Amino acid sequence: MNELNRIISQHRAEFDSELPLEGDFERFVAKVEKPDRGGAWRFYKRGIGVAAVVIVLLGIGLVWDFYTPEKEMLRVYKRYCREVAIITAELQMSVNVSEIETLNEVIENVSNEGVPLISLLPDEMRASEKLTVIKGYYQDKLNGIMELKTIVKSR
Amino acid sequence: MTREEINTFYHRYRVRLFNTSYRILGDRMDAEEVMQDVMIKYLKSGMSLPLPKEEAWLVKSAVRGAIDRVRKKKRDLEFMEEYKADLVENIGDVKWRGTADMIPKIKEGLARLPDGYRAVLSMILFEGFDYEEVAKILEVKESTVRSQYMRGRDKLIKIVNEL
Repeated sequence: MNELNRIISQHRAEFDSELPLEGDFERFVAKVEKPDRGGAWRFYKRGIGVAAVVIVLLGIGLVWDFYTPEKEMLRVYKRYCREVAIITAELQMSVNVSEIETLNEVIENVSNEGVPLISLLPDEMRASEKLTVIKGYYQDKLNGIMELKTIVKSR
Repeated sequence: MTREEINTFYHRYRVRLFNTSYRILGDRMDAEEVMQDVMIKYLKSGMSLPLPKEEAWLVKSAVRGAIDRVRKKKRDLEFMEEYKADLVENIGDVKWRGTADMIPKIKEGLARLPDGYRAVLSMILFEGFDYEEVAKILEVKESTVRSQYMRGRDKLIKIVNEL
């Protein structure tokens, strides 16, 4: 091990000395408590056309012929992407052109997750456990989108 | 989850995850967002892992989230172009001359590295990932990671020596 590696390894904790800006915990709590659904218009903040991203995901076009938990997880994820894409397109057609950008921002805020959870699940978890987590997680996100749809449609 | 439980969970991992993200991103607000997004993803997923595995999962997810964010900002190509541009630069024979105050100098040196090198060094030197894991995350060949790690490390030593 060279000198650089040795210093880092011996003083590892000292390298973790940076702290977030003040008020980070309050910002975290606000995010945690922010409902995934209901009052979705409040989520009008930022975003990029999520529909395009979702359509690309759908374009991957994988075909799963047999049931296994792994394949079922992908099916759940794919179904989620498809639902979001369909609802997005449907809502885009139901709002004024001037509102589309805002609508996309809201949808992205509710549906986007950065790196998808499906690609982050730990290897140690059993496939059946992973499937349970994935089903619950994406169903919850989908519920948020469904409620957004209800709100937009009821205006 | 009660506020007390959220508090305990948050402060258990706050410093580690923030620093993991910050080393790669070099921006406090971005690092905070990645750290918090990863924690929220874990809480909302309903996963329940034993503590050491929980931490490992959070760290790995924070690394992936941070890399994803760098890529979105810089575009993939630019992220990897830094490597190619550097291949023609002759770093020369790099020897460690460090003595006192090495920790702040190493931190400063890391901050001055191009994003790509900083990401690779952060993952290997600080998070303990092996070449294979890094290659998977960056979606490049393991041999590319190995060579970029060596070059990045030499570059870091060179910067630190000059500080």
